Amino acid sequence: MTPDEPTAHPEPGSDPRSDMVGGLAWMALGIVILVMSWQMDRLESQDINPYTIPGLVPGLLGCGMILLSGLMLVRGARRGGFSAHAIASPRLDWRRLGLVLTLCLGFAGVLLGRVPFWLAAWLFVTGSILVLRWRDMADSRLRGIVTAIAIGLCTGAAVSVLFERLFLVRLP
Amino acid sequence: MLGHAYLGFLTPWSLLYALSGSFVGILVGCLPGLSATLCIALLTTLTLKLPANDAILILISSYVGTLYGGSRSAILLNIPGTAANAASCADGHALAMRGEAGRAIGIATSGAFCGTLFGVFCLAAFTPVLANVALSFGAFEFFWLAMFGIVISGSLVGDDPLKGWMIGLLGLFVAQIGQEGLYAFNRFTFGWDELSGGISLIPALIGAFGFAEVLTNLANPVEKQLVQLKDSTLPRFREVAQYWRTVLRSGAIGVLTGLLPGVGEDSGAWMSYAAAKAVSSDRRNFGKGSIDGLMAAETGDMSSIPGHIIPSLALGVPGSAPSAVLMAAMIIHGIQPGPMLMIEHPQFIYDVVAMTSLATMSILFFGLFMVRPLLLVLRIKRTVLMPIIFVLATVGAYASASRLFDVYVMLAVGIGAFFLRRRGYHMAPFVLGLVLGQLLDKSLRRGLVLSDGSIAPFFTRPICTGFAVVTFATMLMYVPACNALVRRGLACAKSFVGVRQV
Repeated sequence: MTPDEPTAHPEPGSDPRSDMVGGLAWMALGIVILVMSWQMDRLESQDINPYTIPGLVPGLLGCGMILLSGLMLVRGARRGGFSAHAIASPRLDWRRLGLVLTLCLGFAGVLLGRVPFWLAAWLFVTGSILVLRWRDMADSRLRGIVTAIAIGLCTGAAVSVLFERLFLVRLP
Repeated sequence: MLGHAYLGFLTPWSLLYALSGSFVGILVGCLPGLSATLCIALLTTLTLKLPANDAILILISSYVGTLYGGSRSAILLNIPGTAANAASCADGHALAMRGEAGRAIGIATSGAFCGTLFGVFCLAAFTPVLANVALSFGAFEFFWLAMFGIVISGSLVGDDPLKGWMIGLLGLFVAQIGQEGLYAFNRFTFGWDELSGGISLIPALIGAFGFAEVLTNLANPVEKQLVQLKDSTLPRFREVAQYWRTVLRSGAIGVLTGLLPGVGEDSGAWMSYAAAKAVSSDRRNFGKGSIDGLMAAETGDMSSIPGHIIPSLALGVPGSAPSAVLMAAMIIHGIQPGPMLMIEHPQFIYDVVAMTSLATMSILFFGLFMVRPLLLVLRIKRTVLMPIIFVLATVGAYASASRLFDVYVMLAVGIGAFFLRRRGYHMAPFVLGLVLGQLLDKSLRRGLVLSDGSIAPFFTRPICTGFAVVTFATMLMYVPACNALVRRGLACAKSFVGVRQV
């Protein structure tokens, strides 16, 4: 996008529904932060300087969040609030996102630390390629599967050797 | 000291490190969606065991290489390799579509080379000066420096300053999690021991710029047609001579935007582009294959790299997300960026100048001899590449402290960043908040102790007054009523001057 290219739709910042939802969410977070900071131990037993209590800066940040979220809510309300027509976000394939998240969380959250790294990487890369490219491999499934297995194996082996043997970096 | 630095790096190993770092950087930069931040973060873990100077040389070379490599996909695919190359897309791709892709890449090479060299000169000249000025900073000044950084970053990045400031506050808050710096009191840890150490910067950055990109690329993969290279890709230095004003102006703009905390290289590119268009006699050609436009974008983009390194070294405040990772790497290797650097490691500043110069020579080498082979990486399908990138990202998150908790941090930050970006929030202010949070916390509390609770010194000390005025003025400029008032005032002033001239 060049600097003076006309936009096809208003800027994201002016989406009133986004402002209302975002404003409420940030307001809630700001209030939680402020309350938790207020309740934080003031270390009076250690006789510290009262201007250095641990909850000071987080509390001020919470106040800042509340203030900015209030401005966001006011901005959204002035432009129509929840009754305004929502500006469409870029379309998201939720099913595909769910698949990707499952694969990534399965690798990083489940396999890592429980099986050797090279094996975890092999399974993840091979599985991801197969799952995400299954439809594209309709013409030559066997070749696609063999290629995916080979890429996964090479990735697992190469990353393990490179990091552990060459650069002496510990892997999970 | 500068001569000593250059001589010290003229060794075969240093040249090899510079070339390797640039090579990896160009490969990463070519691939849309992968950022310099991710590249530097991954290489930081790879270079943990190397001597400090060798490790930083590789990282700086990869930084320069990534932003240079991003111009390739901008030109051939009309997708910027990194956000900083977005300004090169319009003119670069237009040139490619009319059969001049090689010429466009040559212009990108010459602009990148000249821009980085200009920035290196400024790095050598201004860093010691700024570091000496920063020696007079106290707690009050550092507080305002942190506030100024967040406000400027939030204002200039993205379309909505309110969202920018909000995400900056979130970054500042996340930096408060863990043991605080004065009394080792655990804040917001909920009894979880792993959180006592806080949220580490590198896993958070890998999550925000690596995992979030992997999710973006895999959830909605867009495979674009690659334009074929038919003509020569050699840099045309005749065009540099012809557009020398553009090169100098864009170099200066790039360095100046680089000095602003957390603003990012894309601002240098866009502002240089806008300035070139404003003064060009061939304005209508911008966006349709303008050599001037492409030269301005690439020069401004690359000159901002040394520009971002200047405040990182001199003030300990990163100019961009990649320079934030660079700073983290320096700290890991025992070098503390900031005003004390001129006292504790004065030679290091000149070493960085020499490293950046070597990196510049490396990208020229690859721009002259290795353009076509390096483009093969653009043919790899995203659905094959992104899982490999994610594997590297988990290693990068894990390796700095050998904790699986850091991997979980990467996952959480990445998922959050993915959804926030879809709602119009940029991650640069968040990263800056993460870096500056501890500084803001300690500076405010120390300042209040020194002033015995009075906030007057925060507004009456000369440097503080300057920072405070600029910070509040920046925020007020985005209030519609104030903005309208300022515009009316400027219009009155213009008409007054016009009347006087008549």
